[in-house]
Amino acid sequence: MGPGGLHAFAFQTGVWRARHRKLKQRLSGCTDWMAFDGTCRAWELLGGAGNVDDHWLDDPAGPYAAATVRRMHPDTGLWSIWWIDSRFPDLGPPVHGAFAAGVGTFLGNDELDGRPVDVRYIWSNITASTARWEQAFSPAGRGSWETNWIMDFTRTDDA
Amino acid sequence: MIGAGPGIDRRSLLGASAAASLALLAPVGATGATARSGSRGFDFLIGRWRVKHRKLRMRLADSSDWSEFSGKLEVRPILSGLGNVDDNVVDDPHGPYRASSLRVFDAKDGLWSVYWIDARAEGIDKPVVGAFEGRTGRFYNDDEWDGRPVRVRFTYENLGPVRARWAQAFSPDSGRSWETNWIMEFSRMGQN
Repeated sequence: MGPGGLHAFAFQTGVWRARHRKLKQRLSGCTDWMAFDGTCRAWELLGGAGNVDDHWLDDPAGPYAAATVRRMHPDTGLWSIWWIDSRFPDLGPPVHGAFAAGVGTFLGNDELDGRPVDVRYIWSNITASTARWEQAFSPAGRGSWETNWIMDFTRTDDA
Repeated sequence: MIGAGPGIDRRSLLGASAAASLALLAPVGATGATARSGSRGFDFLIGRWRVKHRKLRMRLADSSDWSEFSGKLEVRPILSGLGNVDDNVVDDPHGPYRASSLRVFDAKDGLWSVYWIDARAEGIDKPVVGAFEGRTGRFYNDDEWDGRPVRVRFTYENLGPVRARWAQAFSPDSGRSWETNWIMEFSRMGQN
């Protein structure tokens, strides 16, 4: 896997089981997590300059489908990532970034309950059969990251 | 900047609100709920297709000079059927390229949003929004072409199990007149 650029998300191609851990309240000092399972199937688009992953999440608050669309900037090689929740299917603001030394870091801006927040995705623990994604929020500009969602992936196909 | 190059065909929206985009659509239910295929509207497009492209060389210039070329398309479902994503190989004589469409159904209003992702550009363009009535789906937004505001229409037609068609048209006069500038004729691959 290269430091970014073309095929940066080729590692994800295939079928995965996901173990989700999700902080119950965000940016409010909460330390109460819930865990649930999900599945994920991913494939490349655009000759390796894009990919999509398609999730089923057995969230105890109600199961739902979601997906991620990722595309590489043709000039910079940086990737932009959009999360699509089928319950609220507008594309939110993307995060942008790349991989370095096997770890992908992607940053963006969003809102939480009307307050501006910085958003960070990290991809790590990438092996032939594992991967981890985590999401952290910080109040905008503060750099005080609180991780609020972790997905630990285990490959369930033979790719 | 999306649209900086001559080969970029669908440009980012400038200042159009979602409400304006929807204003020209028929009211939901106007022709009866049975006519709308809702979340199943794009099921016919799932699969692998050969594509014959016909593209108007000059847009909104009273041109009738078309270029023809071939391509391939693969469409796969996502979101448990509430969406799909496709991958295009476009053998444009000006230079082959890749592009994807992302289509997402919003159960709250019964409308599809169709996003175009050109591998040569950046980002994801603002969607065209609409629905199917029977075998024809129409999707609209407001955009700009050569500095002029245009209304954009995508039309998808389900022509049976092995054929389908897509067309893009621009209107320079808020939908009173339309010029089709790009047609894709789809032939399903691998059926026998």
